[in-house]
Amino acid sequence: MDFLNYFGNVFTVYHISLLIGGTFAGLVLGALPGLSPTMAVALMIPFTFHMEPAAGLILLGAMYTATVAGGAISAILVNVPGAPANIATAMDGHQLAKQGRAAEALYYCFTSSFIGGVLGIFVLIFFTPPLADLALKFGPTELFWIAILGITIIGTIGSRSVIKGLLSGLFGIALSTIGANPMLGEDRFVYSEHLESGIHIVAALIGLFAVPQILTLIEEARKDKNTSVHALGESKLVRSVVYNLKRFKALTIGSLVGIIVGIIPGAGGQIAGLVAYDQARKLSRNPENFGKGEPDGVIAAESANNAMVGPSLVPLLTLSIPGSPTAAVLLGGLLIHGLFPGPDLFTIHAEVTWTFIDSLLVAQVFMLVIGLILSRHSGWIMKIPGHYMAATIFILAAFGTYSIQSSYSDVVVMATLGVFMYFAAKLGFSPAPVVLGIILGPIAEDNFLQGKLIGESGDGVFSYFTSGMLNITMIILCAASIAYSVYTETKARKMRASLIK
Amino acid sequence: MKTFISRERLAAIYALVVGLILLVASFYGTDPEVYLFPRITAAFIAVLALILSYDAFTHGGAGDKQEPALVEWKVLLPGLAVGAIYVLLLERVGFYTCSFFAFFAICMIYGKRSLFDPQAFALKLVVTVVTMIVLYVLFWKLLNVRTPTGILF
Repeated sequence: MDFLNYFGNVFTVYHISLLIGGTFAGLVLGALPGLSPTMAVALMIPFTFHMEPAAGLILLGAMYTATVAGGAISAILVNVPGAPANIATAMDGHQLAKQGRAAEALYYCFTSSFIGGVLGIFVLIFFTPPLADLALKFGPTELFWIAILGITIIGTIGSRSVIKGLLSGLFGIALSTIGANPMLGEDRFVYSEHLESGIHIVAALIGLFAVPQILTLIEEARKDKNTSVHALGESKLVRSVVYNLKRFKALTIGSLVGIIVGIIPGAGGQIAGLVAYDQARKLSRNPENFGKGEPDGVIAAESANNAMVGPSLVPLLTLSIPGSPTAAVLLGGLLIHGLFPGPDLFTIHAEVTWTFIDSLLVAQVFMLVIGLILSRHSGWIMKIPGHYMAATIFILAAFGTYSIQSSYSDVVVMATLGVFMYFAAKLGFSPAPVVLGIILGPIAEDNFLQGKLIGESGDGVFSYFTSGMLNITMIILCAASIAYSVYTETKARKMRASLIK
Repeated sequence: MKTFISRERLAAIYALVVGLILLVASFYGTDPEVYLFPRITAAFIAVLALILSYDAFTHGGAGDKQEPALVEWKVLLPGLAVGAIYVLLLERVGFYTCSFFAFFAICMIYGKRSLFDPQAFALKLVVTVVTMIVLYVLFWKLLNVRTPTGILF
C-alpha cells in the first residue's frame, strides 16, 4: 500500500492550489471547442519546468483529468465536442440540451466522469508497480523493441491510416536523430545554428500540437458557425446525481470499457467513449432512445473517457508507451524533470511518483466539485471569440518555448515544426506518432547501438535482436498491431466503397 | 470533373519528398557509423512512402473539383506572414513589443467586426494590453524568464 504512505504529500497548500488551478484551467480549456487536451497539457509543460517535479506533475495530471471532462460542456451546449474523447457525449448530451435539460446532462457528465475516473486511478495504483518490476528484466534489445512497439502501436491503432501513422512515427525518430550521435558524439543533420543542440522535446510538443491549432483557429475565426448556446434549464443537482448513481449498468459498462481501452497503448479517449456508448446502447432495454436524449448515453461515454485517464498511464509509467496522445505529452513532462519510466519511478523516485498518482485521485474530487459549479455558468466559455484564443495560444507558445532553456533557436524550431505539421495534418498525418517518435527515438537508438555492439561480439546482431521470449513477444505484438490495423482499414475502405456504390 | 491531385496523392508526394530528402541527407557524404540509425530510419520512410504512393496512384482515386480547398490561402497567408515576421524580429526588436503587435494584428485581421469599427478597435487594444501585462507578470516576475529585450523591449 505504497500509495497511502505518500497521500499526505498532496495536501499541502501549494499542491492543493495547483490542483484547483489546474482543474479549473483544464475544464475551461477543455470546454473551448477547437482546443484539444493534448495541446493544453503541452502548453502547460514550460510552466512546470520551473517547479519541483512532484508539483509540476500534479499540475499536468490535474489538467489532463479536467480537460477530458471539460470537453463535454461544449459537446452538450453547442454540439461541438471540446475534445475527440467527447464525441460520443454529444450524441445524447446535445439532445438533452435541446429539450431544455442541459444542466441535467452536465450533472450526469461530471458525476460519471468522477466515478469512472476514480476507478481508473485505482487500476493505475494496483497495476503499475508489478508491470514496472517486469521492466527490470529488460536489456538493450528489449528496450529497443519496446520503443519500436510504442511507436508502432500509436502509429497504427491510434491513426486512421496505417502507413501514414507509421510514416509519422518514423519521421519523429528521424527528427530525434538531429544533433550529436549518442555513441560517437559527432553532429548529424546540423545544417543551421538553430539545430546545434538537437530538437528539444517541449519545443517539438508545443510546435506539433499548438501551432496547427492556431492556424486552424484563424482559418475558422471568420466563418459563420451555428454555435447557439442552449439554455441550461432548471434541474435539481441532488436529484440528478442520485439518478446518475442508480444507472449502475451504464456506469459499469462505461468504466470497464474505459479501463480496458486506456491500458491498450495508443487507443485514447475517443475510442473509449464511442465503444462504451455503443455497448451501452446494445445492452440497453431501450436502445431506440439513444440519440434522442438518453441519459445512459452521456453516463456511459463520460465514465469511459475519464476511466481511460488512469489506465493510459500504466504502460506509460512502466514501459514508456503512452495509452493516449495526451499521455505521450505527459511523458515529455516526466522526461524534462529527469524522470524515466520504469522501476526507478517506484524505487528512487517513489515519493514523486506516488504523490503524482495520489494527486490524480484528489484531482477527480476537484473535477467533480468545480465541474458541477461551472455547469451553472458554462455558457460564457463558448462565447470567447476564436481570434482571441488563436492570438493567446500564439504568444503563449512562443514564450513557453523560450522559457524552457532561454533559447531563441527553440522558438524557431517550434514554429517551423508547427507549420510543417499543419500541412501534414491536412493530408491525414497525425502529430501523436511524431511526438512519440521524438520521445522514443533516442531510447531506440541508444539501445540499438548497445545491442549491436553486444551482438557483434557474440552470435551476430540479427540473432541477438530476435532471440529470447520477450523480444519475440514484442516483435509479434508489433506485427499484430500492424496486421490488425491493415485489416480494419481495408474493411472500412470496402464498406465506404459499397456505400458509394 | 476530376483533377489529378487528390488529397491522398498529395500526401504521397509529401511523404516521398520528405523520404527522398532524408535519404540524400543521411547517405550522401556522411560517415556510415555516425549516420547508421538515421540511414535505417530514412530507408524505412522511403519504403513506406513508396507503398503510400503506389496505393494513392492506383486505388486513391482522383480528386474532385467540388471538394473544399485543402488550405484557404487567402485566409491563412496574413496569419502566416504575422507569424514569420514575429519570429524573425523577436530577438532583435524585443519579445514584448513584438508580441504586442502580433497579438493585436491577429485580433484585427481575424476579428469578425470591421477593421475600421472604433469600438472593436478599442476593445482589441484593451485586450492586447491586458494580455501583455499578464504575460509580463507571469513570465518576467513570477517565472523569472528573461526574454531578449532587443532594441525596444
